[in-house]
Amino acid sequence: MATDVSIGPNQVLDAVNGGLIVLDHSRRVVSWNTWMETASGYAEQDTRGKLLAEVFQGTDLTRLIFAIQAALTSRSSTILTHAINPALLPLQTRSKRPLLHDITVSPVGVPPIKQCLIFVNDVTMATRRERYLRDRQNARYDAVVANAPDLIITVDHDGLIQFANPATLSQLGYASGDLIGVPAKDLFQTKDQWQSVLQAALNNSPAGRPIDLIARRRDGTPSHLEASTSLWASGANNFVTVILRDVNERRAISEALRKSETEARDAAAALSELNQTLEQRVQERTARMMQMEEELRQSQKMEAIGQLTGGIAHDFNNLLQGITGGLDLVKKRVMQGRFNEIDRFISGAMTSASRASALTHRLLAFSRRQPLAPKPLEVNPLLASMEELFRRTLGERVLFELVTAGGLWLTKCDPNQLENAVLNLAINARDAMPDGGKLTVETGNSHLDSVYATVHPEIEPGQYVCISVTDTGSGMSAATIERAFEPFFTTKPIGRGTGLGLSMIYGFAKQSGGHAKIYSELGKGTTVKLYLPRFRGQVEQEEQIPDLSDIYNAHTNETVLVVEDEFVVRELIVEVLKELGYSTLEADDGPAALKILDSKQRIDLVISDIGLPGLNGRQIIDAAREVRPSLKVLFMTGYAENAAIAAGFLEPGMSMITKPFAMEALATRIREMLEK
Amino acid sequence: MTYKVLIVDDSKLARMSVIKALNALHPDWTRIEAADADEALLQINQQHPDIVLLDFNMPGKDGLAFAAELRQQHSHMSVALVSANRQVEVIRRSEAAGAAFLAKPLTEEALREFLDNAVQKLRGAVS
Amino acid sequence: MRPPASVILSEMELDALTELVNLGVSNAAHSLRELVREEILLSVPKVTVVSRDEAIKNLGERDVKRLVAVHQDFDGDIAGRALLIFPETKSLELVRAIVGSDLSLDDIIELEQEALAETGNIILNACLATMANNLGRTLKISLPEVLHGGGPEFFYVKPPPFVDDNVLFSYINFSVRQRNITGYIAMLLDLPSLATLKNLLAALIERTSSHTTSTVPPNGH
Repeated sequence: MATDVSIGPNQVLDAVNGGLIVLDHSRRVVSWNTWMETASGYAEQDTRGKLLAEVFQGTDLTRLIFAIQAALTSRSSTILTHAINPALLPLQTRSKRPLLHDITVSPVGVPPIKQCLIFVNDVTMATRRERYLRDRQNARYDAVVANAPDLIITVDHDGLIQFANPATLSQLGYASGDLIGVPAKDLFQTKDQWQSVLQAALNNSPAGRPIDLIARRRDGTPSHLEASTSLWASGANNFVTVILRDVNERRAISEALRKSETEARDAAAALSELNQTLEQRVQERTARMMQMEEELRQSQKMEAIGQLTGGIAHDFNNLLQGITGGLDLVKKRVMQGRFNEIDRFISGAMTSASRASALTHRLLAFSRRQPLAPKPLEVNPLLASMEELFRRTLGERVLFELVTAGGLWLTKCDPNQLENAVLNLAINARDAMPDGGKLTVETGNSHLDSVYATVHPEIEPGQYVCISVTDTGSGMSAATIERAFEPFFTTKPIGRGTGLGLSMIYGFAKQSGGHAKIYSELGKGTTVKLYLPRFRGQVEQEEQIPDLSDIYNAHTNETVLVVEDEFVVRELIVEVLKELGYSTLEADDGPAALKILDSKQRIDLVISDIGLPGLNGRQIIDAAREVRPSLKVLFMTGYAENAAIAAGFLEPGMSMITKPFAMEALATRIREMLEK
Repeated sequence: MTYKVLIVDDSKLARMSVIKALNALHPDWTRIEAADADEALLQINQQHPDIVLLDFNMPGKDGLAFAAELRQQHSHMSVALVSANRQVEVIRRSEAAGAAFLAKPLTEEALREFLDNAVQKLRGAVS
Repeated sequence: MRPPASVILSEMELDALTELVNLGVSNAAHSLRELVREEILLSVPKVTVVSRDEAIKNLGERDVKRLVAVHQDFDGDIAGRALLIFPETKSLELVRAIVGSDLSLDDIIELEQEALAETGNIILNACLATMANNLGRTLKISLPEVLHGGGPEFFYVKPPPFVDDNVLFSYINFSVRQRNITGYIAMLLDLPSLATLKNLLAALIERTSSHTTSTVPPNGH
């Protein structure tokens, strides 16, 4: 019959040293043995027919009830251990202490009878003993491990950290819990060494002496450690405990010792050397160094010039041909009485001449030492005007491309120096591509923000014009890049390259308030970027050079004195002046000029070369002004116009024009000066 | 009034089980099946179902994420998540996504309750 | 000994079986949550029936030589053993997932056996019980035992009647407290059991697709 059978007092059940409860299909108590009575404090008659929740009111029996349900409905057995569930039932030992217990729940009874058996197993003693042993072990162990200055780490056989002592955390800069489960090799810079140490330990064949390792602290700094290992097993798991001794101090001391030894030795050697002819040596060396520096500096330029002049000489010949050829033709036509088309030949000749003058200008600027004379500047036209120069310099095997950005900001710097810099970069690039390649010069606007400035503290964040020169050459190694801007650092063989180019470029960039940076990859190429600060303002407008017209012609009787030692140039100027209707006087040197100036002769303007033999132009004028205080002077010079102004050279009534100049420019200047 | 019900579950048995319960309640309604979220979207665009029953644990996009999407993009549809995973977090997240939660194995009563609610909402929305 | 072709499961039967395992695992997630008090993510991507050799190979291929398994036997109309298998290195991970990370390494090691036993117990019980329930059968399921070793030890079991050649294999992905643990549930069934299983699955499919509102026959029929 499928009825619940309640089992009465049963000697076997009561003799069992453990709790036995039988529940019926509605989870009510059917049987409750003596052990349960003692442990729970509830007698069987008090529990019969009740749910466990009614017996143990206030106790959380969720897991237990779940297990009971499972046993009743699906006939599965469940185990609930004390280790995982510390408080299943409120039971007490005979001495009224908490009774620690495991519980198993199983189905019982042959279908259709469905009942559930709960077995309660006392594990108090076993647990306590284990705990005690462990605490004792732990106390001993912890006393060592927790307080050890050495780093003590336990890893499992996959190399994952399972334990790290306080010294490990504080030495390496981690918080408690950060390292558990982390692969130990993440802590080391010398990962291969660590791997072999771990492997040896797992194979139970450790080195026998401590192995040097370098760990990485959380902040990235290294820490030198010595490692000893030991293998131990727990159940089926293998663990390796590693003791890492800090040897940083020892290293630091021995390093310092080594350094001071070396220093002492060096000092002794130097001292003995100096003992002999001390002053003389010092002087000699200083002089030699200075000379070398100067030579190198000059030769750097000379070298660049040398590299340029080859191409430029070629150009010059062409241009001269243009001039002489044109004039030849003019001569022929005039002699033949044919005056048509002369204009064309003259224009041609003039064009060639002005191109030649531009080249000369460049060359002069390049070779002469000129003070930095910054002015507002548009970079794109400047680079565009250099295109021919680039192509000349790079030769046929290098493809050249100029990429200019639209809307490029203005910058302020010395245009000559900028030309020098970019040209130097082009030469470097060419040298890096002996078998040809491609050179790209690019311009663009650039924001260097405060993040960039954090990484490059020497630069101010802001807006910059960026000029980059990129080649497809041999590239530089990281070590080279680091030193590339150092003066005298060069990777070229002796005799080629002086190592000054990049340092000068860097100096120029810095002086202009900007920055230079190199990006390179070995075998791929190099980009050098020049950053020049954005200039907010206007470019000084180029003087318009209108055609010669009657407006510039002289008013009656204006007289101009021309002081110039070069016959041809002097004649040319005089010719032009006459054409314009001025009266002219000439002098070929200082004394001659002064003689004229001393006289009562009317002179409205002096046009004088500055660089004259003997008395220079300035000196002449200063002397003349003692007699003619408001004398107007137009100086001619091969130097950059602004250099003189910057030097505070000119006084009111004085002006300057740079050679070579177009005649129209001269005429305009003269007119201007006489108007004032 | 008949409605269209879309049943999404990667297990054919599970779909059959839901359909069986649906047949018992509303044999005249249209049933559409899909094995995953992608197929379901296809069916939604083609057939425009009114009610969607989603399995929680599917390959690809899981039922909960899909339910949230459907509630956003097709808010007129009634959505229920059908799952044996009765963890309280799952139920809460279903509710947060605006979907009903029905435990597997699906009983007729649970389905009936959900469908009645859904129909009320749909009728209300139409008028 | 190769099983006769008729015993190998059809696609629909495999679908049904997968769904049963899914249901079982979902139930397990629910009860595990009681143990862990945090949400459990459990999923069963795949269920297959493979030969014993293939099962061992599958485990070996995952580059895991040492495994830990919770093992429970079951008996009734279908008899066999069920194993919940994890890579051994993951066992401590699993323990931490159950008891939390605050405990020391020593405590974790200490609790390993119990934690594995209880977790395995919950998962296997839920799976087996759900399967049995849906198939209209009852099984008697033993208490769990924790085993360490490798594939061959688990799958070659003496003495008979486990002379079968087939293993029901399903991967199970397990995630709790942000730890990802992947393991396998493997069930070894003897040949008569496999045949019975096939029949029971067929009956389930039949019941589910029929248009009558017949209920599942009561347990213990």
